[in-house]
Amino acid sequence: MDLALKYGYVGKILRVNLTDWNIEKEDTREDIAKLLLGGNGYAAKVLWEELKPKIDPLSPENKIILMTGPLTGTGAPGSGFWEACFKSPLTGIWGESACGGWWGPMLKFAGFDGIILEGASKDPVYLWIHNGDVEIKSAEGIWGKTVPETEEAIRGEIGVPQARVLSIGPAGEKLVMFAGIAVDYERYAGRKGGGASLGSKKVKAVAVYGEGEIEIAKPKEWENALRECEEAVKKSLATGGGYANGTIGTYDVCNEMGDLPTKYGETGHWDEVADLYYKFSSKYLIKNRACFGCMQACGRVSQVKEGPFATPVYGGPEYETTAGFTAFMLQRDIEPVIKANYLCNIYGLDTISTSHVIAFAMTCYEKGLITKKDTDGLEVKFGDPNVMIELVEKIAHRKGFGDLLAEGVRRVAEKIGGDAPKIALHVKGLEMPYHDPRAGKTQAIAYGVSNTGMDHFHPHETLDVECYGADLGLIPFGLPDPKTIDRFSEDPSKARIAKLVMDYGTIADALVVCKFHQYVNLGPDKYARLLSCATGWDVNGEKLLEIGDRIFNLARAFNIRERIRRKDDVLPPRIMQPATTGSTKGVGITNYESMLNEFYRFEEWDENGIPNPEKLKRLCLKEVAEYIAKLAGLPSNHSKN
Amino acid sequence: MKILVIDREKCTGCRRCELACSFRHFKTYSLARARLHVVHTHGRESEGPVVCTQCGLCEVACPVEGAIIRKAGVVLVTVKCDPTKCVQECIAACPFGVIHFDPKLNKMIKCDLCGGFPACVEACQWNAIQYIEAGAPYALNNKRLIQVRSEKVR
Repeated sequence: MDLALKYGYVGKILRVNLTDWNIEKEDTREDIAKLLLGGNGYAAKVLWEELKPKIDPLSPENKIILMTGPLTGTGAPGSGFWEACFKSPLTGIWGESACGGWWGPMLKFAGFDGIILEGASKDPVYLWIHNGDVEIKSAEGIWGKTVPETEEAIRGEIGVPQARVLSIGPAGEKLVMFAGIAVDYERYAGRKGGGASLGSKKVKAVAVYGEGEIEIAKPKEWENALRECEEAVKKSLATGGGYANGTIGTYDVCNEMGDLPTKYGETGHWDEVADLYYKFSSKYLIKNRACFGCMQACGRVSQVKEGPFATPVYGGPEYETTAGFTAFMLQRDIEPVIKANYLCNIYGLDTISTSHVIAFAMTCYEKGLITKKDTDGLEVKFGDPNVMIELVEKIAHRKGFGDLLAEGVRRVAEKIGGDAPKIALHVKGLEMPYHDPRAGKTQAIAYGVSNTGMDHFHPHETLDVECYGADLGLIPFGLPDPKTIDRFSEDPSKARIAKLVMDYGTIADALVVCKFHQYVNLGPDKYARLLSCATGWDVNGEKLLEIGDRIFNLARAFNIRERIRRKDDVLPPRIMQPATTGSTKGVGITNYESMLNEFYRFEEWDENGIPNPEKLKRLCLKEVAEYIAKLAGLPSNHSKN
Repeated sequence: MKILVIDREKCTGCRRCELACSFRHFKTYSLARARLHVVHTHGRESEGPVVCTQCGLCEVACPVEGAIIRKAGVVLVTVKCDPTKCVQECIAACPFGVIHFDPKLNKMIKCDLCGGFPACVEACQWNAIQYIEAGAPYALNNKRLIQVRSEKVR
């Protein structure tokens, strides 16, 4: 069928080789799309096929894939997302980062489902993609500019005010290992160092504008399915579901539940910030902002009007940013958070990793592992907002002490030595985000086995189920009623909950839609119906979850190829120790190993964490199965059972 | 007669109105084929929809007899519209930039209020676009907006 990818997808992928400026427009491959949809699934397959194992993530051999999916740009709730996939410079393994904004849909309207960037340019460049045409332009004049300056300059230069710009800031150019990719000023594919990857290829920005259209295979059915979804979302929002108060609106609740890592993960609750959200919303909040196609508008726009922390009107801060720059480093006020958020955003830094390494430096300073000599004379004490702001600046420009911190917490800890590696909170090199696994034990598994490292968003934040009672529409698929789950229990059966939620989360990154819309009464069945109507395929909820499983295992295989094994699926000891305050006081993680065993059994991975070739074959990943079978030294017909 | 009224302060910039508009008319999703647009001030404070007010300036400017007509208060582009016979005066005449040429239809497109059930209004759950009787008083029930204005008056 030659017209198979006409619907939902726009059918073309752009491949740009930056070494020789070669531009190719290839068809979106139907074989991949049907098995793995788009987004992270499509990218995982391409990177599996095209990347050699063990390459340096910052070398020209690495590729960055910016992908949309079959539901991006349609009327599906939360359709404004896009995915960046690459081998991460921060962790050295599979890296994916999802982001909202308006850029992803515009890429589709400009005629492409995704962009594959390979090679590396000698001089700074940016791409200008408009209605199927692609130009590579010199970015000499904008290299070094901040994110807002870059966007303004590029829109001015190309003369299209409606164009959407993806860019990196000075941090990405200077290869700060956790630099993010910004779109539309304030939306970030922040984690895992996508900004550094683009910086290593000397790509400053990708501007897109398009007047194309996305066709729907069955418009009549689509209309009905969409109406049903919209009603479900509205109903859920009306009853307090979703993120009507923004992610920062969950701050006080997280604090109450012991889900707010405090003092570099020593505990999960801090009394002094009990009413932080109230302070923020009553004084600094300006308005709510939505991404493209969003029904929740969780984005916040804020400003500090005067004082030492004055900022212009800017997006944010989100929950993670706020948690990182407050409780995690024992800092009390919201004003420095808004300032730090603004600085991270204009310099192109991931706020989670940035606040994490600063808090780590404070911990090391307190323990005497580093002294004033190492920190350029700064007193890096817990809770000092001025030091915090200064360190953000230093990291962004890799100045002095910031040059060390810019390497990410794993490398910093190795460099400092002594007890530092034992204190550092990371899995596979990715810094811990600000959800405490002690508050809900499935999160411990999710942190441990996530393909990207210690990640709350890929595949999914499982805490929401047991801590906050969200059922995610998964009850028909075997999820026990969230109200009946004991969040502190470490029963191995939690592995099943984690697996289900993670597969579901993976789908959002493949369809590519906003994960927050999974909290509002949409279940796999509704997404499956939308996908079927959009593409004309026959998909149901079960099949969709199987696709999630497939993508998760494919990314795992990618990591196995990069020599990730069970030894890497462990949690840092500091976060397993009992918390000292709040509702999780005295709760530690003691039974992690048996939960992990159960998860492995469930995934059919062997004791080393290597996927079972038989299962991979069942998931239609034949060549992956063959590679894994060879690697494990097993005959390809080997079966564990 | 009812018209579209906007409350800019309520707009979140999600552009679901544009998506709904293009889908209602063409069964595809395209921002370029939507008959209203959302102005999005990058990184700054506000965004807001720009809709057709049915003012009829395009009708006045159109040189082709019967190409743009007013029917029960709604200004409509008819089958007689032929952009080869004019220099698209309607685009120049429109104060809001909400009439434009559609290459696939080969004629101008503008808001037709969806025959009385506007898709954009249905799509906007924030009530940033409302469909109300022309001339009727309506409340911009947003405290902040009122405050800002009263400050300015003082």
